Amino acid sequence: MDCQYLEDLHELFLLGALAEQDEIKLREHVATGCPRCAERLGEAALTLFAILQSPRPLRNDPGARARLLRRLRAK
Amino acid sequence: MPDEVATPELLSRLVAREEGALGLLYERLGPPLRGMVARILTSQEEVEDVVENSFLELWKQTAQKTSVKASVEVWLTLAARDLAVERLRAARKSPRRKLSPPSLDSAWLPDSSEFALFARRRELVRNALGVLPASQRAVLDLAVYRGRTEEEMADLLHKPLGRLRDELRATLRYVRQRLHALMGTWTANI
Ligand SMILES: [Zn+2]
Repeated sequence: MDCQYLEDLHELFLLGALAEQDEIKLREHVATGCPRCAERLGEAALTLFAILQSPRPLRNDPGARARLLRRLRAK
Repeated sequence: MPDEVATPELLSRLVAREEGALGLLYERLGPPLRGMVARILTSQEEVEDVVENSFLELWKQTAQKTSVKASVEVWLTLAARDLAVERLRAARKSPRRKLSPPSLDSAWLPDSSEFALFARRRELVRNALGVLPASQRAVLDLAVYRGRTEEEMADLLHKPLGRLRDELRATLRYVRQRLHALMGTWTANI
């Protein structure tokens, strides 16, 4: 299927920023298994990942790992 | 020390349900996630909660697996961002539906070799993003860190929706093309 017109939507789709009708259109199209859109989604994921890497890392709180494992065991 | 064990090895242990491996992954991958989530949420408690929840979700999603193909760095980042933005949206009673972080099974997620390629060029990528004009950066931040939709952004910035869309999509296209140029072969194996 020709999906050239969806070309620029994948990043915004992953961000949940599209208008509802665009989001539905893309979701339904991706569900058909379009290889081009699968590639675009991968590219979009990496693009967003790159953007989300720009904030400076913050060190974990002391004790945070122990708390995570406590929560895990409490599940 | 945690850094002696490679991430893929920790992932295998995680898949084998070794709780300690989750703790070690948290030590290693937690700091960039905290930094990112702190751009979205202000309460330190909420930031910590979201970061922990993304690791607990990782634990849950690896329950029935024998291996993980997707880059866990990329998946955790997208998942933590979505969980954080969901809270923002809930706090402002946004009419938008819940965000659903991608499944770790999604075949389109970048794999660990694509992540490695990215990681080697991290500084170049950072520099490329650093040169975005402030106005483009501001719109991008609204979408990425404030969880705004295109329609909400047009309202907030008093711009016609069509123009806002064109500008935002052009900015993302620019970032994508810069990444392509920096990473060269990133889609060569798809
Ligand atoms: Zn397509």
